[in-house]
Amino acid sequence: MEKYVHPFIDACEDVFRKFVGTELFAERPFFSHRDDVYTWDISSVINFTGEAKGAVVISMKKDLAAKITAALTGNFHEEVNEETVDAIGEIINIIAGNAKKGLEDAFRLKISLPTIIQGTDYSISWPSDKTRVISIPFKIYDKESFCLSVAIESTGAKEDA
Amino acid sequence: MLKVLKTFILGGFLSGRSLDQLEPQVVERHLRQFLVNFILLVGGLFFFYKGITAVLEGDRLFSVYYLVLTAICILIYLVSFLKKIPLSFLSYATTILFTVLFGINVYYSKAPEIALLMTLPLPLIHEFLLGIKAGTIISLIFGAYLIFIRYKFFFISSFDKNTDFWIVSAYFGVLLLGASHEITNKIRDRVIGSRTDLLRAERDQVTIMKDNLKAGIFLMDKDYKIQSGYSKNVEVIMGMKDLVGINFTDLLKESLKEKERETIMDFFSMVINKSFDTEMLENINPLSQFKYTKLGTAQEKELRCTFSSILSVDNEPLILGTVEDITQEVELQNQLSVEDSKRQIEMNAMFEVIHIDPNVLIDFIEDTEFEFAHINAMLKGNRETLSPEVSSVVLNEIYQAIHAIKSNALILGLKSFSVQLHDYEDEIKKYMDVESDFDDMLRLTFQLEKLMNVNDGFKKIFNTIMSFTKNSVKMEQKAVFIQILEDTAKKVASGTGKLIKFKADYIDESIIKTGPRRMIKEMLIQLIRNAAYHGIEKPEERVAKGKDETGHISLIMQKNLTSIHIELADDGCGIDYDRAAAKAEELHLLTEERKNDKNFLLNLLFQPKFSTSQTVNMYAGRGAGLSLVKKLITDLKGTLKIRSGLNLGVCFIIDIPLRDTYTETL
Repeated sequence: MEKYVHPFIDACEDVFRKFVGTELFAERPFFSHRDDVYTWDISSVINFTGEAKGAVVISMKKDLAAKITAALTGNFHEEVNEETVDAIGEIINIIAGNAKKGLEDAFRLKISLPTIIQGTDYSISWPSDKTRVISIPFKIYDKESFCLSVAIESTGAKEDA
Repeated sequence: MLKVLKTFILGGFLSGRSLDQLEPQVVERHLRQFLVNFILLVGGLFFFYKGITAVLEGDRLFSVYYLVLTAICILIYLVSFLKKIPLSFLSYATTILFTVLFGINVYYSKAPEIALLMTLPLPLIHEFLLGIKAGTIISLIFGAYLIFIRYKFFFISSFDKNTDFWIVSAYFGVLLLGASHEITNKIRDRVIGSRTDLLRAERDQVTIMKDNLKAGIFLMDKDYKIQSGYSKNVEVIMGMKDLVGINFTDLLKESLKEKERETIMDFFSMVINKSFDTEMLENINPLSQFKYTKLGTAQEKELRCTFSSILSVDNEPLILGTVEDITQEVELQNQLSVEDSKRQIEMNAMFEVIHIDPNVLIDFIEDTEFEFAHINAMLKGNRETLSPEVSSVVLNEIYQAIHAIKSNALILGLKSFSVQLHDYEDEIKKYMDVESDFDDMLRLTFQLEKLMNVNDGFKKIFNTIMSFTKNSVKMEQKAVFIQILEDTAKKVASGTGKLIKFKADYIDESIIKTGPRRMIKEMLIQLIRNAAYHGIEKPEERVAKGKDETGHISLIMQKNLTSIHIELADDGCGIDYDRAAAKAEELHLLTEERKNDKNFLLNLLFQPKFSTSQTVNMYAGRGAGLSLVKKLITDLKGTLKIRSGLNLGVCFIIDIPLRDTYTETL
């Protein structure tokens, strides 16, 4: 299963290095429950189907979103506004695009365009009936972090050994 | 030169029509054209000759007459070169012209018998050029004209009346024969035409069937070259066009190795020679299912081919091949088999699970969930850094938690889950010794998820079982507790061929209700396993030592004013300090002066990864058990005392200070 997640991690690191100009550090993954309420401020959901189905979500706090937006556009906004959503949406679009290239070449998968969700206290309706979600925290700017959450299951087309 | 001459003459007679196409209708048309032109040219020449003669004789009237006729012939002939003019027009023009001329000739000729004889081929020409209807009508009119002449005007000549009667009769005879011949031809044509239509319809039907068949059908000759007339789907399935004349095995160049293709050619020769019966050939068909790679691409398909031998019309042996794209079918089958094995695993789990008392099972499931939650807390915590030291601490904790789950699973006889947990332990071990990076952790996390899913499966099964047995008596917590410990001893006993009896002499129920139940249970399980595995001897050994052949393990759990007091005693062989010393020496942990230091050796026994067992198996040998006990006691701020006597057994005495609440970490 992890082979489906790797392209996303690589794409994240790559995109942040190239566009935001900072290194990411992937930290120890852990499990979240699918019904966990997200305390993040902005999230983006990317669905995929094919030989495996599921979703990948990238979530972050508004402080970090503001910093990334500033790094991208040069404008700093305290609150999440249209420009922040656009900037984060764009970053996630690029990440999804990069990951898509790697994934669709190697596996029989189709990947959706990312959807952006903002606000607090929302939960994400994960597509499969899996109860557990694997969360991979990324450390950025020394002590900030954002989170890549993954829920996938094989549809049996190709089971990994 | 000859060719030019031939082209010239033929072109001349055919009015420039090419002879390249030789289909029946065209040939027939050519013949008509040829006849028309022949008549025109021969007639024209004759008239020209007559005209010149008349000019030389000074007969002005006849010279003009004949030269005009010559001109008409040449004119019609030239007109015939125009492609737009239909042949029927030329035929009518020529026939009518010459018929009239023949008629005039019969009337005016100085030698009427010859003129009359010349009219004999007319009906044939009419019928051939104008068709049966128009030809017969014109012939009949001309015949009537002949009869008319015979009766009214013929007596002028010296010609024998009988002769002209016979010639006119012959004329009608020719007319009749010509007509009947044409009619016979027509009927035959019609019969052939209807048969052709029938055949064509059948052919079209076969083509439609062939092209609409899901499988592609093709024929190969003895050199395995694909013959024309293969069905459209062959091209679609093989992803290539224009396959006629291509060697079938060449199409498989990228799908099969050289050796395999040789095998296939051997198989084909067997098909051609009919070396075996059809069923046998089908059984050894190497292409009954194979992965086809389209030449020059990486596109892959699953194909199924069949081959059989047939004889061509010329009695040449041919191979009739079919090819079918079964990619989806195979995919579906794979999915099914994945589902199947999943179901199989579930069924196995079900069988294992239904043997377990539901009360014990739910206790296990909850404990396992608890352990998993603990592992996740470990993964989540200590976020600051991913340094190797922290990772190895985390991994060690995960390892112990997994080990605890495995012990419990083994006790309950959850074989496949135990094996999975055991494998996972192996996996963690691998990363504990080397520096683990993020990828390793990610892999471990995903593997952990699979284990979690197994436990989820147990829960589902448990709920199913409970929905059937709503009214079953809920076992008391204490009974469940004792049951699990009993099962622990039984499990090791049956695994090692020993006879062991576990007995709880006294258990204060309030400890189980309010005390650190999980942690105590865990340490007792590990200690009982330890006693059963290392302490209790095999029956024959016990008998030899003069003991009861059944080993005994007994437990006392009581509450004092300030502490929980636990005693677990066995009547086994006691702690084998020599073996511990030997093992310690092997691991270079021992100095000479400590060799007899029992306290030091005891401490070693409680170190992680230290085991006196010679081999690692599911039950013992990793040294995790006693170190876990040590950790649990330390966490509870308790104390452990050990009383041991050679061949008398071991007694573990644990004291845990009483508190209002316990935080149960393992």
